[in-house]
Amino acid sequence: MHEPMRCILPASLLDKLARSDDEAVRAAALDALALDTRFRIARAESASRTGGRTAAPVTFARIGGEAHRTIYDKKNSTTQSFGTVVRAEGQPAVQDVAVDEAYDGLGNTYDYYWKIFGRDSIDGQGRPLHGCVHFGRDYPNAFWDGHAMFFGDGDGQFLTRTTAGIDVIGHELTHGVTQYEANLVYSGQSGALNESISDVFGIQVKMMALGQTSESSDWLIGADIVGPQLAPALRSMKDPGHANPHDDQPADMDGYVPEGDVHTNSGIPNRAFYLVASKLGGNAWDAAGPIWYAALRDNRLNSTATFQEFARLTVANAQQLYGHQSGQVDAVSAAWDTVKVPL
Amino acid sequence: MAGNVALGAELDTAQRPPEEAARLETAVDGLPWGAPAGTPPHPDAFRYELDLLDQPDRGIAVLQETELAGDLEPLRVQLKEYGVVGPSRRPT
Repeated sequence: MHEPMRCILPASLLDKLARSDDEAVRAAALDALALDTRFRIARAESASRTGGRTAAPVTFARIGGEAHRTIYDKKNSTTQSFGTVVRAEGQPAVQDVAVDEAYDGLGNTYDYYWKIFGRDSIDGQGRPLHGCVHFGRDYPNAFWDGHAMFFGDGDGQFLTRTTAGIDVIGHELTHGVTQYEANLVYSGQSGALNESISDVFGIQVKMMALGQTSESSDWLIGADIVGPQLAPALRSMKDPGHANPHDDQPADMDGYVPEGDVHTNSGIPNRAFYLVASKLGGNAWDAAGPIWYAALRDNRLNSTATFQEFARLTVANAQQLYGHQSGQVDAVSAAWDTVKVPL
Repeated sequence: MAGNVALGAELDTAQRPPEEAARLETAVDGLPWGAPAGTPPHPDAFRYELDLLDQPDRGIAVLQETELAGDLEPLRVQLKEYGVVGPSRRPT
């Protein structure tokens, strides 16, 4: 009994067949060549884009530029399964404002990373974005669990509807970006850097969505989600320690809290970024954002990096991007000097 | 998201139904007093820090977000209903 032979036809053979006297053979070969060419172009395009440091190798092409979002309703459950699909990519707005805010915020974040860095989603390879709303009951928090974003409805005192904060959504998704890049350990100075990087890119996502510049932004994190007990905001990148009456963030290393919470000491690198962006003016993503992004993606940035190690990489990457004698390098060096992180 | 602020509350087991108080005290007694905080399950997770006002030498027990459940649930409810906002605890 003969086994059927299975072959993959090389392009050279298809080319020969395309010149056949037999019209049917010619047509089939030309169709196959057209499809083959599309795949080869897409594969080359994809190979030229880099995913995150810890992303899997590219196995198939995807042309980036469009988010792939799905929003789920947790219906007050606290399990970390996704829940019921309530809005998929391309579907119109629904009656639930949390669903629509999550959908838009995920899109704002995707757009920021794609437009400024050509990064196709949080892993750089088009990873679908999942947002799960109505997590828990009156749950005053939002978080990225490594697979999806979860949004609480807030308790009305501490935090309100967490999907209302574009910067909050950008903050949480940026934890995903960091996960795929330096994967900064979430404690000590590396943890404070992890938090700061989420604030740095979260505020830029909000700035871009609202058309704000470094001058016009209020540089407040969480201003749109705080309840009366934490008004006006959770954190201030411009003035750490003064976002609300309970804000304990230090503004420089003189106030550094040994073994402090990662959300406390993040005030120091937050302020450094604010100083760079405000010194250079214009959009925060004109120069400050790319410098910070390059440092995050720098292979020399270890998962246990200190403030000093990160600061040195921002200077090195500013030099690489803009030249050793540039105003951008001066701004970065001066910022770290102001917050008393020695270079 | 709001890790640099905290809610604080106190609970007196003497003011609880005896059975609930007994379960709660047993659970509290078994906590990792004085042990270093574990790794949070994800960024921005809640963290609970407990201390005993009448046993200060025990130090602090740190629990992750999902660990304040079961017989410890009354603590979470107390915090939700009577918690007062303040800065996050400074390490001693």
